[in-house]
Amino acid sequence: MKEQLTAAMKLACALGADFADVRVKDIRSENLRMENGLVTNTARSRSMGYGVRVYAGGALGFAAGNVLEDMENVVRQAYDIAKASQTLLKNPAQLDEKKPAQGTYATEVKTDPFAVPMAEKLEILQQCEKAIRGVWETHSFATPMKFRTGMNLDFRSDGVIFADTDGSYIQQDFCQCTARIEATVISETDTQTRKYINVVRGGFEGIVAMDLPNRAHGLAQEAAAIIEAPDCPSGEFDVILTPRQMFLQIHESVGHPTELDRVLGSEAAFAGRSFLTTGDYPAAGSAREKDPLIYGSTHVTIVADAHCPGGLGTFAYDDEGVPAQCITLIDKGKFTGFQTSRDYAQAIGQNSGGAGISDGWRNLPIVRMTNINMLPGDKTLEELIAGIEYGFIFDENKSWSIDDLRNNFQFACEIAHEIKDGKRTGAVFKNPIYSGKTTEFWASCDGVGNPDTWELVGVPNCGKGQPMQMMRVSHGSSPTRFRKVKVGVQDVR
Amino acid sequence: MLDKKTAEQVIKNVTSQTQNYAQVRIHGSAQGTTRFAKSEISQNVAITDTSVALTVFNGKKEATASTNVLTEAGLAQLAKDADALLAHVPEGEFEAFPFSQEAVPERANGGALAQSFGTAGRAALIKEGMGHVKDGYTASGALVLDQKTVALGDSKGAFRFAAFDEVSFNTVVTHADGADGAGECISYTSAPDIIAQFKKAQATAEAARNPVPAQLGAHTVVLSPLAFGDLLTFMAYVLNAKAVDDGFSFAAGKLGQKVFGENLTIRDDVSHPELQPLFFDMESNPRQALPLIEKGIVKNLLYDNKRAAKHGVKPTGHCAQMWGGMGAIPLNVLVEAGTSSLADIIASTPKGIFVNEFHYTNFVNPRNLQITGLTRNGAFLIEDGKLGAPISTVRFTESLLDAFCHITAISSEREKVSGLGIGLIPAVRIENFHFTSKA
Repeated sequence: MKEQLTAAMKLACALGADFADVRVKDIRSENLRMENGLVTNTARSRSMGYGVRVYAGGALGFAAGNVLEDMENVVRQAYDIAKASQTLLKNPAQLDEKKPAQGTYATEVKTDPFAVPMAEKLEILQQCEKAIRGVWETHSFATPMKFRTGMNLDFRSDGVIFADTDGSYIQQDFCQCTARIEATVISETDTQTRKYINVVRGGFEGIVAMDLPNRAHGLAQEAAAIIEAPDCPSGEFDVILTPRQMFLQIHESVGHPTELDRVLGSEAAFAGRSFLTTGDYPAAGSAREKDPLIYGSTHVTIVADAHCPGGLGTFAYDDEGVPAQCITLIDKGKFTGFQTSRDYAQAIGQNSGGAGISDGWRNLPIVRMTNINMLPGDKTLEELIAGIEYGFIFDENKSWSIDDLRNNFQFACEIAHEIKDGKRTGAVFKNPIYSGKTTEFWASCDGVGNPDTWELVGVPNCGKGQPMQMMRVSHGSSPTRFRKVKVGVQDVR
Repeated sequence: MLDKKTAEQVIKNVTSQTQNYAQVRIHGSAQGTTRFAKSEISQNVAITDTSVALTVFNGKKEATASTNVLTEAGLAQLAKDADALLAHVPEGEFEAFPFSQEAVPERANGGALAQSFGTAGRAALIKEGMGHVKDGYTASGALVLDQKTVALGDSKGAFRFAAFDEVSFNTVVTHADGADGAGECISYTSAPDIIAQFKKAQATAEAARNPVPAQLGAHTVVLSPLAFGDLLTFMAYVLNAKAVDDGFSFAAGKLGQKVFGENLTIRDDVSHPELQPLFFDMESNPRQALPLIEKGIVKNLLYDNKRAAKHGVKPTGHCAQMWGGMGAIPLNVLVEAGTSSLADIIASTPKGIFVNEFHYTNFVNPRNLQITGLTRNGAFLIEDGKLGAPISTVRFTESLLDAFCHITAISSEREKVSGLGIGLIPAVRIENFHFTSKA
């Protein structure tokens, strides 16, 4: 393979490329789904191919194919596309400085998930099914209900080889495991689901550690409770978001707006832009160095950490051959950095932050989140609760929407736990919705859970780019308290 | 890209390598995307891929393996993988549903779009369009040529093949002060007018400058086909038996009942010459033309094989995914046109808001069709029957069960709009539509 990729890069240079790189990816997956106790899908798949990126005269061309023997033609195609791109070129691309990289990396895997017998995987799902049905069979519902369960175990391995015209050659192997459990109760007029989804880098031991049957039991109990619970009150309340909602809050209102390609308008016609500008970057000697943009309260420190154990954005090198880094995006409430790739970093006078990542072999690397994590604070969950006179704990995301500039967001969760006089009352509400504006919301944060409460949540489906690229990212956080949050929409309905 | 003959050979090859009843699905795509941002080409890509999925059955057991390694060895491995997996899976609910061999129409579009929208053609068109973007504004967007191939076959000799080209385009023109306008189009037949979309986006962006804040609460809104189509997507997505059975559809218990206004009639019809010419679904069933909503009444749900067997009805030919996980989805939605032009609808609206496009729409609650989202790329006050000041971005939260009962005008013009598939969608006026927060 090395000889073939080296020859391809030489060809790109011979054609006239300023720079070229190639990613070969061999992706294998296994998917297992059970619905209502019956297996509905068992599948294995393989997708192998390569993408060639060529810069010529400052213009970009990219071509991808899945026949290795055609690589020479694909290189020529990428070069020809770069030439065509020169038709409308105002600002020739400038890649940052990068040293050629040689290296290997592999996700730490104790138990290869593809080698685990199907029977063992099914047994876990059957235990979950039994746990859920056991709760529902003994629960006393006021009205007749129907019940649905859905469960997935999915496994994926990515073998990645990267080479470029600077002489880089990197081999990386990744492995990830996904679990999803849904417990749904259906009444004559309503449907309520409690679910658990997580995706981790690692081996099958990650699935075992999730303790899925025990989680399934809890989900069934809460689904049974919320189907007959009242709607969450509307108003202005203090709220604690669990890590299973915080991941989405971070993803949408910190992760995406700090992607530099959005800031520069590259996603203006599709995924959207950002309320941030390059002028908000606190470069040395800039006005923002002395007067930083305040993104949140001093409790808020958020990093893009490509070293995070178990994270879906963890690697040794990104898809541009840039070493993994930990970039501080927000430091004690102050905005400090963007997520960048090689072709955008120069806009803020920096080298790439190692966030140039492509979805599979078919796609061009674009700026993507790695692991966007909020650092833990010093409070126990009970201490966070104790600071609330009346409010709620919102758990597990159910719905999400945010505006083009990543300012106005509205999220719904699956369940709200009531807090009164600093204690949980045991009462629950369904359909909690909350909304806000990004920096105002983060400024209202006044307490963050300690490291014992910190949890990493994987997101397997972050969409961006044309053609659409689906990326796998992770977000770590603790239960986090926000003051005077707008809950519900009854005030204008 | 596989041609028809090669696709048939691959299917015969793969099915001959297993003793089990076998179904094969082939998806091929050669896609060229020219993306532009800040008025210059920013990304220009060509992607070619073909994947083969083999599903094998033994009684009520089934297993699927797929690959895009189409060498002899790769295809042989595919059959081995599927059979090996099958040996370990437990029984499901149903035995195999053999592929239908009922004849369906074929409509090739002849590759005419491919000739005009190759790499050089796309770059030239974008350059020409950029000539209509005025100083102080920039344009972003993408022009895509997608040459698609779908082939199905099984070990009993069934075979289907479809190949068609799709050209899609979208652009957003933005002023330095943030005002936006947009245009988009899609076609399977003749070359779409890309330049007209640049002009439309430019004109809208000019009109959208210096917005005023919108008032929250209930409004009369006039929605463009793009905005209305966005809302319809959510309704159509759950109009299938699986969504109903799983408790995620407003249509639960509503078949045959009036749930929307009498002026709303929607059907799914693959035979329309301007829509996607894929006349069979992923289970090989002929795609039926069906009324979905007729004068506000839920007339039909869509069924894949498994749901149809469960309910004792025939499948409708709308299975969108190879193993039916999504249920059945309408890909060719047509909304019955009204009698007034969009201009007349605006002229007959004393006070309201015109919405060109929604952004980041999403379910809040699929059971009552509650949706949220935000305005984008041009929203304007309507005052005394005329488009007035632009408004700043505003969020709506609304149940479509309410909104679609309050449609008071439907335009006579319809536009092709991307959604689940491609629809033919009019503009509408809706009363009592709720905006719930300001951006």
